[in-house]
Order: sequence, then C-alpha cells, then structure tokens
Amino acid sequence: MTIEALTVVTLERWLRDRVAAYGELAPDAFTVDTPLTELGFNSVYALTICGDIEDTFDIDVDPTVVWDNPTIRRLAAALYAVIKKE
Amino acid sequence: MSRTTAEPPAGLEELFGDPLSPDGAFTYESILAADAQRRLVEPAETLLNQWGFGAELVPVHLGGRWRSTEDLVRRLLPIFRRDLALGLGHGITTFMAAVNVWLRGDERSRHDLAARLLRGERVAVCFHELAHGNDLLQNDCTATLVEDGPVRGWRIDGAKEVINNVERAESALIFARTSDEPGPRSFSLLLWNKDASLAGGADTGRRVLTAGVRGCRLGVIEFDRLVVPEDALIGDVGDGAATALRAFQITRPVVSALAVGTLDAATRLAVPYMRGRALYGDRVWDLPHARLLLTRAWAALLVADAFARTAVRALHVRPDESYLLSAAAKYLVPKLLNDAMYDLSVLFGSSFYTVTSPYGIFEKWFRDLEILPIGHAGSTSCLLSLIPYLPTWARRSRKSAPYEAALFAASADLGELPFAELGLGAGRFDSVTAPLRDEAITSALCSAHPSVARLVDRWVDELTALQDAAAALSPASLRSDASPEAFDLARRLTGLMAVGALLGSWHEGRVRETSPFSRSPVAVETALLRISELLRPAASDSSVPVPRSAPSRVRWPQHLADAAAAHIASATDAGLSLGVEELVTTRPSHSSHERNP
Repeated sequence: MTIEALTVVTLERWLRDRVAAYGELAPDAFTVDTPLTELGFNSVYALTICGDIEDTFDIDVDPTVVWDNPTIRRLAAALYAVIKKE
Repeated sequence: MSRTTAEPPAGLEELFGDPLSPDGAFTYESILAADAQRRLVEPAETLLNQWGFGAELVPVHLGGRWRSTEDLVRRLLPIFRRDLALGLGHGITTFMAAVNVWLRGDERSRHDLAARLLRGERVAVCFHELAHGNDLLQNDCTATLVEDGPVRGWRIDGAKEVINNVERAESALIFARTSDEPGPRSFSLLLWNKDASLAGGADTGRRVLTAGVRGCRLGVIEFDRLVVPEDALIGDVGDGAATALRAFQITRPVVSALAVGTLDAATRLAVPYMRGRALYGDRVWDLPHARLLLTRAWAALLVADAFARTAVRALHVRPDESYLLSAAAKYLVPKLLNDAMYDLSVLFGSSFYTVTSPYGIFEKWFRDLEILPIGHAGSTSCLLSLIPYLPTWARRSRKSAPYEAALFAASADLGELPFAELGLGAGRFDSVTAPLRDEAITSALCSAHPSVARLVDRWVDELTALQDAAAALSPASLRSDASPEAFDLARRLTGLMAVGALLGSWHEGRVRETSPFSRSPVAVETALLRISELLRPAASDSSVPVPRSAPSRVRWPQHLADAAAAHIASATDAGLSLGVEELVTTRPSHSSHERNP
C-alpha cells in the first residue's frame, strides 16, 4: 500500500480486515466503532497488530497507540496522524 | 552525595576477601550459618552499605555510579559469586523498583529517590499477588483518588504477596488498579515513602518462608486504609503496565547476568572437590564422566553469560530490540544455569546432599538459583512476551541487520542507558541473530574451528525453519492461551538468539586477552555443543514431539571434555572468573587448590 493513496478510510478498511482475521470474525459482525476488547482483541493482539502495521506502512508504532485508541475508527485516525508526521 | 562523585571505590572481591578462608566475616561458612537462621550475613550488609551499594543503582546523571549497565553487572558480580540471596535481598529488588522511577518519574521524584538510595535506603517492589502470578493485568489491589478537605491522596486497598524487604524498606513501589476497565491502561504506579503517609497504614508483619534464598525477608503487605500523597504517582494515571514492561527489559538481563556469577563460583568450587575426593580407586578428577559433567556445566555457563551480557549491552546499543531480547534471555539463561547446577550436583554427589564442608555452600546455591525461573518474571511469562511478536520477528529477521560489534564486545563503551528509547515494540531488526546470517563471521568461525561447521549449518537451517514456522502462525494461536506450537517456537527462538549471542561473543572475544574464546581453543566448540543439545532432531521429524528426557543427539568427544576441564582447572588455579570474561577474583588461600591435575 503506498502512502500517497492512503486515507483514513483505506486505513479503516485495512484494520477491519486485520481485526476480522485475528478474531476469526465475519466482516459484518462489527463496525469501526465496536470496542476492540469486545471482539476479543486483547493486549496480546495489540502487540501483534503493531508489528503488522509497522511492516505494512513502514512506520514505528508503539503498542500503547493501540491501547489508547480502542476502536478501529480511533486507531485509524491515530495511525494516520503518525504516518503524516513521518 | 559527595561520596558518589569521587572515583569508584575498591572492588567488592577485594573487600569481601577469600570466601573459603577459615575466618572472615563473609565466608561460605558464615553464609551457610546465616541461611540456616533465615537471615542475611549482617557484616556483609554493613560492608555493602559502606561501599555505597545504593549508589550503584542510581544513574550518573542523578548523582550515582550507574553508567554502563555491563559495568554495574561487573561490580555487583562478587556478591552473586558468594550469596545470591544477599544480592537479591540487600539488594537488587531495590533496583527493580528504582528503574521504574528512572523511566517515568518526574524531576522531583527521580531526584528524591536518588537521594534516598544514596543514603542507603531500600524500596520494596509491591507488584506480585499470588492469585495472579505474573499476570499483572489481572491484579486486584486498587488505588483510588480521595479527598479529605484540602488534602488529596491515593487510598490503597488490597494486598501484595511475596515482597522482598517489604517490612524494612523505607519505601514501596505499588502496582495498583486505577480503573475498573479491562486492559493495560487500568494500572498505575505509586511510590509510597513510608515517612510520608497521609492516613492509615499497612501491615507488613507476615513473612513468607521459602525453600531457597532463605535469608531474604519476603513478606506480605496488607494495606489498611493507607492514603499516600497525590504526587506519589509515577508517570501518568494508566501508565503502570507500560512502565513496568519497560522496566522489566532492564532488570531481566541484569538479574540473569548477575546470577551467572553463582554458577561461575559453583563450577570453580568443583575443581578442588574433584581433586580431593577419591572414588572407585581414583580421584573424581580422573573419572572421564566427571570431567564431562564439569565441561557441560562450563559450556552452559559460557552460553548463558554470552546471552545475558549481550542482552545487557542491547539496552544501550539496540534498546528498540530489548523487549524481545530481554524476555528471551530471562527464559533461557535461568534454564541453562539450573541445568548446569544439576550437572554439578551429580558431580558433588553425596557431598552435595549432606552439605559437607567446605562444599556445603553448593547445596545453598542450588536451592537459591531455583528462584530464578520463578521470581521477578517467570519463564512462562517471558515466553508469553515473545509469542505475540513471532510473526513480526519472522519478517524482521529476514531483513539484513547491520552487525553491531558493540552488542557482543565486552570492551564496548556503552555510555549511560537511553531510558527513553526502550519501547514495547519488536525492534527494527533482529541484531542478535545477525552473526548467524553474516557469512564473514560464520566462515571465520568454521575455518578457525572446522569441527563446528556442521553445528553452524544446523543453526542456519534452524533460523530458516523457525522463520517459516513463525510466519505461518495464525493470529488465534498467539493469545495467552497460546497453542503448544507457539510456545515451542518461542522456546526455539530463545535458543537461536543465544547462538547469535555466542557467535558474536566469539567473534569479538577471539582477539581479546580476557576472553575464553582467545584463552581456550575449545571454548566456542564446547559452548556450541551445549546449546545444540536444544536443537530438535532433523526438521523432517519435527511433527513428532520430543520428550524432555530424550537423549541428547549431541556427542561430546572426550578429548574436548578433557581440554575444557584442563582449562577450567587452570583458570580456577589462577583465581580467574569463568564466563565470557576471565578476570581476577579473590585467589583462594585454601591448600587443596595447590595440586594440579
């Protein structure tokens, strides 16, 4: 995924796919505002997804970013800010 | 504070003197006597206070003596060569608390704690609740912000258990729940200076009796409407877990590297025992099997020390990689140390079990070292730290990492620890396995020691196999109820990292006068053989579980064991430490050391 094409919406879509894959969930079983913890997305997944994010978008993300942004919508916004800054 | 700004004081080896000496305040005999009474050797505690033990734990920029963490390890090793319980109990648990404050405390709390440690005060680490083991995020002890007129403070409710020095420490660092929400942002750290309570108190009278480290004053703290000042908070509300996870990165490798000192002393103590005891018509020294046991213990010591020291240097050189490296070291190093102690216990035989002077200290060390894979950060919790990052590690380790000589060189100038650079990520590279992927290093090793070529090849294959297996893990297999397969991969990763550390330590040490890799032609092969015992059978049978008791597939040539044993004996006679640095310790004055094998 190129940074140029990246928008908050594409980030949200990417995160939705990851969350569905992690939790083995149907994509319509949750929304971008469902708290991740309700999807069984615990602090372990926070670490795993950080590794995914870093390698996909070539940025450094501390897992605390995931802790502090507990929905896909908020996480996408926070990541977008990090990507723009870098 | 003036004491600490002067040049470093005399080393502890010199101050403690020969532990085998028939008289002296801090000898093996006095340590055993104190252990039987479940206390630490008081003159040794007094000596450590005078020496300024507390200053060792305070960074230079706060007025203490801690600059290079490897130097800190070197200076404290003489304690662990004599009495692990003293090291922890005097001791290192204050360090475990203090690093949280160095990491996240504000200006005032950092300077205040530094002044306290420089005065010789202690801090207890009130993290552990027996019901939750190492699962910090389930802790029940709470801190609630309360107001009484103009006074605001945190009321602490609950209890913490198996806490070293909880009664005598002047302060306690408390890990407490500050929100009912699940998740890692619900915990905070509070530093309670016992001379600054606003209300209530705590009962610290109940002691916990343990099988090992009997001199440590482990106890329970039950909070009784204790209210601590609002500014006792270290970092922000909700920062507790993130801070603790960064602090562990410092303490895990430091504790591991220090505990190596106990195995060092035990291995050297085996030499006079083997020379002095006759069995089956020979001295124990003359039994090939006995020399092999000694060699295996030394080999484990070399691997453990190479790995622990690399993880210590990584705090300075590759702090971004410390999250994984420190957890891997704290898993594997204690295991190697305890396995080596088991080998030595077979060697000491009945002299071990009947606690026979002057070798009785071995039985205490054996008991004491068993705390290592349990206390502080347990082995399972260390593997659980690695598991979520296994797929990430697989990707990172495929990127070529620059070879960092400073990660593996005992001579590296490390400077002060960059606290702010420790994070919770997987690291940008996998620098510790870089030597295994560096053609120049592996071919130099194989041309200097042709007999290790096959083992090096097997570890290169293991790297690829592990990358493939880790990349193929499904996210669902990474949770804390992780599959046995994920645990197994995490375990294998620790072995691989240890091999990387060993190869790097060989590469940097082979031209260094104090390194076993320059002083003994068999050191690297011996160490590599020992770590290769952890390799599974060939990859094609990897679906077949290998029982723990499976016979080692590694064959130990007797000539190798003999050359290694001769080296161990000569280092012992010269009063040198064993490990990745062979440095002068206190030369034993005991007469049984004089005879050469």
